[in-house]
Amino acid sequence: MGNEERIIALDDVNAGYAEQIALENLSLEVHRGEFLGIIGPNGAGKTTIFKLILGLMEPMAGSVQVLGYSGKEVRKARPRLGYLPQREEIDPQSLGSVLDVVLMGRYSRIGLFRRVRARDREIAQRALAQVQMEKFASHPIGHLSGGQQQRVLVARTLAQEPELLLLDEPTTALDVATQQDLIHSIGGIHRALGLTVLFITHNVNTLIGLADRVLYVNRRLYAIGPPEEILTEPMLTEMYGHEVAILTRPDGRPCVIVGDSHA
Amino acid sequence: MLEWVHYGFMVRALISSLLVGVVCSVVGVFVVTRGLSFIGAGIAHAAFAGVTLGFLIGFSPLALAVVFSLVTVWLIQLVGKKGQLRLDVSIGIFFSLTMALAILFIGLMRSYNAEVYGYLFGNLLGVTRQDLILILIVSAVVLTLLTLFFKEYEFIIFDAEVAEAAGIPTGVLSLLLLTMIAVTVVVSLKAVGVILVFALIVTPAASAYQLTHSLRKMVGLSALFGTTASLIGLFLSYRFDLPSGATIVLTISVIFGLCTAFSPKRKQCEWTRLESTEKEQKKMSNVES
Repeated sequence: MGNEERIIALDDVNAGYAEQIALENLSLEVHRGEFLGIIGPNGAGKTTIFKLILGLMEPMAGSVQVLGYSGKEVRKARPRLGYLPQREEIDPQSLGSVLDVVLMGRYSRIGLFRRVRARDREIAQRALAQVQMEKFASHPIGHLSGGQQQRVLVARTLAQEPELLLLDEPTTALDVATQQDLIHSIGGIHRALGLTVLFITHNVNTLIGLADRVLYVNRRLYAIGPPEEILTEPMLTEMYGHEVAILTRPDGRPCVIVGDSHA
Repeated sequence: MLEWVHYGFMVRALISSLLVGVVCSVVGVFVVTRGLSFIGAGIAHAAFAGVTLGFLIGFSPLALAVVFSLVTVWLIQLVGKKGQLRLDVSIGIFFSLTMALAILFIGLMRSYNAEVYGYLFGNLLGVTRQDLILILIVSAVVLTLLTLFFKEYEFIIFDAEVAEAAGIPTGVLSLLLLTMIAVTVVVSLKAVGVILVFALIVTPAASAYQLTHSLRKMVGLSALFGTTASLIGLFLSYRFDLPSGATIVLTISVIFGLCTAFSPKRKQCEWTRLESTEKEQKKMSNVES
């Protein structure tokens, strides 16, 4: 769990697009060093929370405070936030080597009219090493597998030297083994660097043993607390709209199974 | 062979074709990679409406071409946002609107004006000293701005959403890029014409895209193809008394054909796709077993 320094505060926020409200009366505090898992059904407003934090969207009501900035000034915090959005696979013909892509994470730090320096390259190489992709620095990004590309994009956020990581379903469209590798890397980085992480996922199993708290949102804040309080059969059954069973693995860790557990 | 150097109009044609070849092909890299090819065609037609209005009311055709193309670019963005339309729909609306205006202005002239048709089809040999100075200034400004903001544009091309989230001023830079495209199109009109200018912007960049995974190399190759096509096209035009705009565009089209046919990048991609499919299948069969 992180220390008590509050770095994000959403206070009674309403947000959405035109006539469609995505979030209602949401209040949330995140503390430095914390790993917050965010779960909820599709259209629950999970990504909207990230857009509010990044200042890509303004609340219709309520207030947002990020790293000491509030109101329209929230966008000033952007260079200190590493954001990995949901994405599709990168086109094989896409321009840029792996190192080029990771260096992009440095650009907001370097600033306008300034060039990339040796120190920026060192930081980018270090970020690649943190996701075990340093050997691929000169490869075209489009030639990597989906899992490798996702690691490179995580490295890009790390190269930004952020205080906060916002990861929006980073394991979507990856096979099970690659998901586990990536989750393991993200957990390792969180622990090693003490980074604050907000992690949206549909795969609640990834949060077990990783998240300090889990936020269950469905347009409103439905529940928030330690994983063992939130990831319960009644709560998850309601969230998925299907029966959910929580089994215990041989190593003692719980495992969530969605579907008909009596089949 | 070199008797043409004694003719001022030929020297101006040569220098302007080189400049237009470089600036169009470099701007083209950002047009192609940002998926703005259609908007560029719209700009060319809007500029032509400005040119025809200029001849109709006796005002500077180039100044009005700049005004028309910039206003059209900004309106395309505005209508797209406010009307919640896809960009291609709002471009389609303004593309036909400005062409209709151009035809209307030509109709109102009541007499044939050869200069108007010079802008439509291009006339490198008719480039004046003033035109050349304008092309030189615009080329210098556009290339300097693209160099200054190269890394920001690189980020926007790769992932505009993350670039904005990281604090890159994507809105301002996108508007600046559209403005640079508009101005480049306008100063190139006299040399290659409304109909062909966009080929000189899109085709060298599309050719370079076949050969490299690096944005920097793509810029270099595109500039090389653009200038080569301009020089060869101008030579063919002079030697065989052919329209210069057409010979330039046909030359760059041949270069594009060759680059596509022998693209090592395309072959690599096909190989990579095959290899990754095999890897995925292997992984899946391991998981299943």
